[in-house]
Amino acid sequence: MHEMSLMSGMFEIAADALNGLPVKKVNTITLSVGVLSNALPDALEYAFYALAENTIFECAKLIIIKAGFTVKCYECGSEFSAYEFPIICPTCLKASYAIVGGDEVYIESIDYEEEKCQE
Amino acid sequence: MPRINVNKDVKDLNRQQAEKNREIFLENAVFTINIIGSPGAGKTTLLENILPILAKKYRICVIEGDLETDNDAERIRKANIQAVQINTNGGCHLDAFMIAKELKALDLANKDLLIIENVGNLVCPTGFDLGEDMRIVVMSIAEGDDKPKKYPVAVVNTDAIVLTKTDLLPYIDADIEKMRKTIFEIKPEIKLFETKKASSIYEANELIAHIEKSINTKSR
Ligand SMILES: Nc1nc2c(ncn2[C@@H]2O[C@H](COP(=O)(O)OP(=O)(O)OP(=O)(O)O)[C@@H](O)[C@H]2O)c(=O)[nH]1
Ligand SMILES: [Mg+2]
Ligand SMILES: [Zn+2]
Repeated sequence: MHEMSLMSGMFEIAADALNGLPVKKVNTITLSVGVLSNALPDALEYAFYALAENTIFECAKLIIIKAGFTVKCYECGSEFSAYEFPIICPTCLKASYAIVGGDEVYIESIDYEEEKCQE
Repeated sequence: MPRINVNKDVKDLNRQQAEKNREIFLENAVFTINIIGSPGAGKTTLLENILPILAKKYRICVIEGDLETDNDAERIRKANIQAVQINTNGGCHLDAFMIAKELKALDLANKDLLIIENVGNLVCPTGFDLGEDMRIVVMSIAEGDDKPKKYPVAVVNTDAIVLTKTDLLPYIDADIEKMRKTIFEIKPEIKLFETKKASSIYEANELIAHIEKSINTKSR
């Protein structure tokens, strides 16, 4: 269950990003999760709702976008997306490559409601 | 409704600490290896057998990660090598912060090699950089020859794989050629080693030579 520790890091960064803003309540958090992150959407969701309790994130909704991984071909230099192994370059059909992304648990955006000014 | 674009990777928290660890290793001229593999794959057995040989050339210390017990640290100490134990109490992996806490006790200024045995698990530890110079994934042939295919992230995120328990090949229905092939399909440039234990002799000469070569390359 490393999703729990990823999620507590997520809340740390999210709270940091909202710091100083007039936030009344958080509505949605959008995450992009790479297939190489080994983070399961269900487990992330479970951790999200468990950790959100009694915080400004309490009623927020979690949106998870599944992202593939980016591959750079050593042979012909082209870049392409892949979702599974084995990987073959669609341009030159060789299998010699570097994986340049896809293990991220990326916070894209946070939607929130503003505290209205009292005056 | 207002929206704030955060654009931050949650994994950066661990990554930043891993970079700090890496700097500490560099300052102290310590080469660090992170060993990952499922429970019982043969990680500690590998260390018990290769460390006494490496200890003739290098000053070594070990961090053992387990959910409970200090059995593995005890096993390493029996080979006269300094070992500290981290108990994660249910946590499925070691992260860079846990390692940072242990570094003071290890007297790195007087060490050349730090070996970290991660919690037995082929999934979660693979996403957490500890600041290591080299990562080794240990897979036993007894776990089944489909494991590289089922755990591609472990294969992608490592420098080397050690297939252990090859002495059991005559008794187990595992196609080692298929394992080798899948591993190279997933990561063509990977270093692959095979080890076996037969009548108390442990064979891992190529792996030891590779570790020595990597240490020497870094310290140059
Ligand atoms: N036949 C055979 N048995 C082995 C070999 N390597 C390890 N074993 C046995 O496999 C079992 C597990 O080995 P360990 O080294 O404790 O495994 P581990 O990966 O450290 O396990 P955890 O730390 O609990 O995850 C022990 O009974 C070892 O004796 C080998 O090469 N051949
Ligand atoms: Mg062990
Ligand atoms: Zn190509």
